[in-house]
Amino acid sequence: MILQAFLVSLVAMYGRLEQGWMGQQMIARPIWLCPLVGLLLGDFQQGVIIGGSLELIWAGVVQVGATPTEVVTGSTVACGLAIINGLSVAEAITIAIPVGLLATLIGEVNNTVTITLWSPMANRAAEVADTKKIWWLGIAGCATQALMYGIAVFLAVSAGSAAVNAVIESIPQVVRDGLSNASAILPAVGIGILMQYSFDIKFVGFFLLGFLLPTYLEFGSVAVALAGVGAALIYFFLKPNEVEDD
Amino acid sequence: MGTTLTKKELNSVFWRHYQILGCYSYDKQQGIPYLRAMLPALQKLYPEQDQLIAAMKRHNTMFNTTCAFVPFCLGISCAMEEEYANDTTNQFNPDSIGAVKIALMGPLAGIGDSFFWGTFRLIACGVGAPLAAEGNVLGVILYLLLNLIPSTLTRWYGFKLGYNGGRQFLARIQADGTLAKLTESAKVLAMVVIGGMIPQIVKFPLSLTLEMGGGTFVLADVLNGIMPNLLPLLLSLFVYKLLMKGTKVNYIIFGLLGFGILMTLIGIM
Amino acid sequence: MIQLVRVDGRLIHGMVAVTWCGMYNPQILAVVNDAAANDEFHTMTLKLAKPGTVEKCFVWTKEKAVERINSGKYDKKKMFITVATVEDAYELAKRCPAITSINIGPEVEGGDGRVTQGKQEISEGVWINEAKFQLLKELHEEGKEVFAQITTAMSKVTWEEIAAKFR
Repeated sequence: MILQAFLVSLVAMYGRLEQGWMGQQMIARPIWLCPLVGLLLGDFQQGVIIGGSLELIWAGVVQVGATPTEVVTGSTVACGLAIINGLSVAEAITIAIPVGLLATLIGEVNNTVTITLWSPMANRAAEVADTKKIWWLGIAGCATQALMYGIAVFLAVSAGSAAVNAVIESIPQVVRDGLSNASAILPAVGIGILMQYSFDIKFVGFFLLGFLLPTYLEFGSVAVALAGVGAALIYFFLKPNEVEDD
Repeated sequence: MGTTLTKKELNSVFWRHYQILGCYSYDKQQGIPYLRAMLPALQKLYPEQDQLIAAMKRHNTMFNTTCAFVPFCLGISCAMEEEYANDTTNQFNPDSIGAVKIALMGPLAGIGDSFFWGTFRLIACGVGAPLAAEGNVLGVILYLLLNLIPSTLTRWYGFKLGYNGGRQFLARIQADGTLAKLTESAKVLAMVVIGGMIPQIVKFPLSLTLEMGGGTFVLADVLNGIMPNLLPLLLSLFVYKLLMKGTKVNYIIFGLLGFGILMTLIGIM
Repeated sequence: MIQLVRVDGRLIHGMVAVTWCGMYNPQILAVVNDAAANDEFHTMTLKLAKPGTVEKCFVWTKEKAVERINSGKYDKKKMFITVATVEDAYELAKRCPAITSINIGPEVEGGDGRVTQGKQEISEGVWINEAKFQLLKELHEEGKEVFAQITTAMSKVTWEEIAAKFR
């Protein structure tokens, strides 16, 4: 159990370092981290499924400024617990949501550290052209942050594995079925958030087109995206360039 | 005087950009890592200690933009520092280097977030996540490729473009309206993908069946007869409406969990 | 119709272009900032960042903004305004009766960035000092809505909650 918790915390730390040291390629997300958790815990397939399912629900939650959910911690802890304890995908989702909410608190602590520690140190280093110190400072913040998250995830998984089975078993069957049904409709939240940021009534036709292709013509996800590229190209070439005023 | 940046310094600036979130602080955001990335160029251009200190202070400032556009900004900064270091006429005002950074960071974050977050990641998610949720590894691979390819190309060519006349490039695409059309086209693509995601990822498992006067009434079949995926569509639009009215995401999530349990209890789902 | 005046040190960036414009769907995005309007390059980059759904993006000095807003020329259009500081928001709101709602986001103090010293955190990531609070109080007393909120995903912090921090 200790080893497994440690392995999960490694993935969580990698998730942090991906953002901090590897340029935030938008891949520190459930769909990539959960398969890694699965790989380390010996159930890659389940990791892929949980990752894909969580990605759908959190499709709209991203790092644009402050976020209401911390997806790295939420997905690694939930996926780890689910695989260790043999939980269903719906149960994993039920764990991920509150964990993701709680984990935003770690970010708050980290903010305080950076502002009181790293910023003043960098100012002093710039005053005396201490280039080595700047080199170290430039990666230190992320390292401490990763460590904080790593410890939190380690504790959550090791303490959680002992408790989670008892909690899940105490839930009546009908509620468990209900949660399973609810996890089927939850991706609507991801869609809603995405629409909030891109929907515009003048583009409603394109939205409808996208909806109709899989509904009536059985287009798969890749085919829909390609149709979207087609629509975007038509738009790009047919729309005249605008003239700026004022 | 007369120092120019070689491939060596430029490459090293480029590679250091990957740590741009390596010391994210609330006040200066990406400021410290930006200075860290500039160092190889600054050290080459300013061998004198006092000039180097002045240059380091110049870049020890608040900065924040979409990570994939950071190399573009670094490229412009390198070109401007080079111009300043080689300026023998005292015509070049070093304040303009910071002013350009300020002018770039916000707008590029606006463009970058809408492209990388709103378009590329969305397409990657729309294509990859439904496959992964069914247990298909291809979904994970497609997700990674659809994110990494545009991002890597933007970083690499962005840096080159930034160093070689980046400011003029921006002025040109702004003047002819190319970028404006590109962002709108990206929106079109995003709309198609979002619309297409609904039938694929939102499921509404109805189980209600009633025996009525010799016939069976299956709720799911009746609704499918009107239009398949009608409920997922309506539910998604409903969530969107709630969000537009300012309802918090987490309330909606818990609301839907409760709704699922309730519907199961009374036997509709 | 002016939907909102947003105080934001970076004027247009991800939060404004993606989340706020996504939520409000304005037809016009107006940046009111003297320094930016007088800097050709900054004006150009701001216009470059016009979100796809917005029809026009203007970069105005305060004088020009007051004149344009009060002329009634854009009364029929949904307009979203961003300014860099509380002081600019105050001046604009004082001179333009059409402004009824002011949102406080993070300000930026030059190279020092989002300075927190001597300030109160009124909402996650948003800090203001006593002097700025007094300006906002005046706007509130004139019946204008004043609230703090960094992105649309976070909770709105109302005037009463802000005022409680300065008691």
